[in-house]
Amino acid sequence: MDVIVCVKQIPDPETPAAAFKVDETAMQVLPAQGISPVISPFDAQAVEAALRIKDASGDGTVNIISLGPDSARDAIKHSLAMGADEGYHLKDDAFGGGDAWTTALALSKAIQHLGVPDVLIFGRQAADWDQGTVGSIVAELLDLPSATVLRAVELNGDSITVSRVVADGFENIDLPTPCVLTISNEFGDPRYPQLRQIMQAARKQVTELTAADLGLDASEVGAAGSRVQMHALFQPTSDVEVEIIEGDTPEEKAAGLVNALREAKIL
Amino acid sequence: MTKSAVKSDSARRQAGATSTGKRVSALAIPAWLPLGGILLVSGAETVRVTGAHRELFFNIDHFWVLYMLLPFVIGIIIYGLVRRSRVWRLGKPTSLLKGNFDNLPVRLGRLVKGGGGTERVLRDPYSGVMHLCIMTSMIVLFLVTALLAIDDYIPVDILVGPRYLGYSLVADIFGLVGIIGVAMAVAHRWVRPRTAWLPTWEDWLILGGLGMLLITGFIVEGLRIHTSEIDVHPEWSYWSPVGYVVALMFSGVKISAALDIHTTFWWIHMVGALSWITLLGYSKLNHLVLAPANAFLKSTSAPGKLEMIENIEEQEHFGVSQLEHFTMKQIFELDVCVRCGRCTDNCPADIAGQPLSPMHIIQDLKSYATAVGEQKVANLVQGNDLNFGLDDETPMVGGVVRDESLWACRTCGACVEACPVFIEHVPTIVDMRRSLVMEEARMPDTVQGTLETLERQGHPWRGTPYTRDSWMEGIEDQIPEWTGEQDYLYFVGCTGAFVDRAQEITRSVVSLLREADVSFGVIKGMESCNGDPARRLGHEYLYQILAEGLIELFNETGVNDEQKTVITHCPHCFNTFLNEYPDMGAKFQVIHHTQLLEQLVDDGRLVPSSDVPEQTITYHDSCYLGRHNDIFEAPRRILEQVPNVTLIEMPRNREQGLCCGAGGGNMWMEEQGKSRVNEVRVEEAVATGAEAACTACPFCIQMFDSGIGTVQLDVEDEDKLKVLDVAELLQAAAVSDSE
Repeated sequence: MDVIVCVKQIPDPETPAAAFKVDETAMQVLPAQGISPVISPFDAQAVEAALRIKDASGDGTVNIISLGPDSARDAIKHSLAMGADEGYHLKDDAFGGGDAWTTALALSKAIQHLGVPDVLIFGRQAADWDQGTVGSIVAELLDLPSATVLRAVELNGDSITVSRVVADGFENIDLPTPCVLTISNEFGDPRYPQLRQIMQAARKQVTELTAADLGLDASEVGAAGSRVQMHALFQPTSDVEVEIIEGDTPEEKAAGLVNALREAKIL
Repeated sequence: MTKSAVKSDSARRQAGATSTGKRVSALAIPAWLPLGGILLVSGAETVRVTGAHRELFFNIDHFWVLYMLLPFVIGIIIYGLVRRSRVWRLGKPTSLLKGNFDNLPVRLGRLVKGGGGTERVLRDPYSGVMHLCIMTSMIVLFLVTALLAIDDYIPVDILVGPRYLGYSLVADIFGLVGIIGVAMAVAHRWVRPRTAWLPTWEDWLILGGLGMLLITGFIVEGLRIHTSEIDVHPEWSYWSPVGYVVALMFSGVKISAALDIHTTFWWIHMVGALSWITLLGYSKLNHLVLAPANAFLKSTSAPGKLEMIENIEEQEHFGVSQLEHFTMKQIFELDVCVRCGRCTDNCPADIAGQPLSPMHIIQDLKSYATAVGEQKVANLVQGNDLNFGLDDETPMVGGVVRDESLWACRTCGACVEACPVFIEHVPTIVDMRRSLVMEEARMPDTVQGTLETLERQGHPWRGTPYTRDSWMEGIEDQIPEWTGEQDYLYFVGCTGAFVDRAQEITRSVVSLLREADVSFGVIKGMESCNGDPARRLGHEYLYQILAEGLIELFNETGVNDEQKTVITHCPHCFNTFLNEYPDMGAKFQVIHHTQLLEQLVDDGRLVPSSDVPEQTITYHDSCYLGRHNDIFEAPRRILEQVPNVTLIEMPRNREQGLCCGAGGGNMWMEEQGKSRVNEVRVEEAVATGAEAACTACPFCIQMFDSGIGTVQLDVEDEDKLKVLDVAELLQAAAVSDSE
């Protein structure tokens, strides 16, 4: 079964808050010193899901597409090291400053360019902006059925059975192929690459594709094609006030706490 | 009476067949010498025949059969050892095999003291004495026998008169010492066997055989005295006290019958001796030869140093997953193990009831090397693929040695330090970890998380809220930026920067360096991990990447210079910089903060004069500072110079210090087992009655803090054991404006 996984490189979500800085004027996140960007954790799980589908079906390929600057190559290489077959890097200055729509547009063109596979997999959302829309937009653009926020994926002959995470439990669905899936963290940890695979991945060529290669005009993508406009980017400040509830007995303290919570309209 | 006065072959030989006898001995003796055991066994008998007043081969016909057997015995032993050596040679050659013996004096010293002198065996009083009895008995009986043989085959008689009598006394005494040793060894196994080393057939065969030889030796001697000496020269017999007593026991036996019994026992003794000595090639008795050899072969680098995988990108495999991935020395070492169990008795994981016994790792690998190794040798001989027919074999890593055992290792080196035959367990364990991590990517989640954080953020502290410079907040202006002009670079390290408790140590060190007016600087914001955690966790590749990156930074900033010294307060950074970075191209000097602070106190640049509260302190040795780098005294001397401080020791201290539980990457792992190592150690510290425990390692401090949380759960806060870095105590005493 052939699978394409779309991955995104993001600033390491484990960057300590103290090291997270934004440039409010340029409306950009500043890279933290000494902390390398990483593949979005949900996307690594998407790669893991793809590899398990490939293993379960016994044949096929897992190819990776990522849209981003030069450094996005590392996210592709990481996916290759996990065991993916080929990597495609959508790299063009014209892609810069885009939104979910332009990203999905470019990705869908790239998928058509490579040939629509049996399964298309995304992370449930990129762990930087957390919009969680690209997968669904691509499904719309390619007119494919989709299931989002999945915790389990199982091959069922030619169809696929998935389990969605919903507010009050799980929802199990059968989908025909080709289809689009987005993977949630409940799916499980992605594999840690073996050193041999890391070295093989380092030697593997990643194919670069520009907007022109995909038949896209610069005006359709990136900042020019964006449908979302950013108005401001800033770090919210949060004030913490600490109130110690006094009391002689635990009961008194608990009663005081309840009163305080009522006053704050939390209870 | 002369030698030939009594009947027998020696008279015949001296009369007519002298040349034959000489020829036989000329052939036999050189072959005997390297195989000490043979003579010492036959010695138990031959000792008591010739001499001033007795004769070799008294009452024995066809003694030449013995000489005929000797080549076979030697052949059998050599066959056994050569057969084993083919398994050893499955391993990768090391430079040792090409004769590149670095530090020859050290090696020779170890050979003499540790091999011949059994220095480490003697550390345990009971088994030390036991081993000493058996060993000296065997050596003396060997020498005594050799002397007897020499005396017999040279024209001059040495062992005559008083010399013979003294000789006989020595032989008897050491025969008795041997019996005492064997009895102690049997009692050791019978009376207080430890689960770590339940005795096997080998033990009983070796000890039973040796005991039998010593006893039959005395029986033969007693019968000889009874039949030929006691009635004629009773005063000689007193010089063979044990033989004399045995002779008295046989006093009721008729001489003719006694002579028959003598002949029978003589042959039992001799054939028994020759059979027993063949165990040298097939059992742990081989430690007679292999243990001194291993003392000589043991690495002379600092014990905390791991060997680098050169050209790692071109390797066909990473670490050890197959027997042949070990070095020849590592496989050889498996055969040196005598199952004494000292490694396991000293292993922090085993002490805490966790799933690791270094002895069992070595023994299990030895069994594996026997079964699978010999099959591999056979495959090679038959021109088959090395692993032909071995597909269904239990895998070595993950099967023979379980993953959790490998992960439970603290790399603290207590096993290596305790091993009386100089086995190096830690590199063998880390080599298998390397395969788990790099080859199979199979590891606990916590290890994976640590490695990922190292890869991405350049430090192992996943989830820390701090940045590299957080510890400087509020005192930025007091911390000199490294310019390349200063003498010392203070390398803060990841723990000193990212862990709040350790940040306090970092600030103490800075405060002391400033107080003493030391010319130092800090590379702000740019440091990265030196790779130690990755290396101990088995990710050699990540270690090399991190180390190359840091050395590049050191090159750019002028740190990597013979004139510059890097200060670390982390013994793990210290060990890696000092012992492992030279392989990566480092030229700078390295000093641990306790060494520097001791110097500064000695030079009067730091004066620990102000009043710290009167207190008793116990010092906990960090493995990577102490056992691995021999720095035991510097921190203690600092503590001794702080007024009002009384230093007391835990029972396990210095070379025998117990790990805090964090070493070998276990700082970032979940412990599995009955209890936690840090709790065991905290209990030991609390038991001294000390008010505070001092150490010189940020990991140890964290482990103590968390151990106190559970061990002293019900103790009032102010009565709990306090835990301090040496620098913090010194700061309180020597820096006037410290809090």
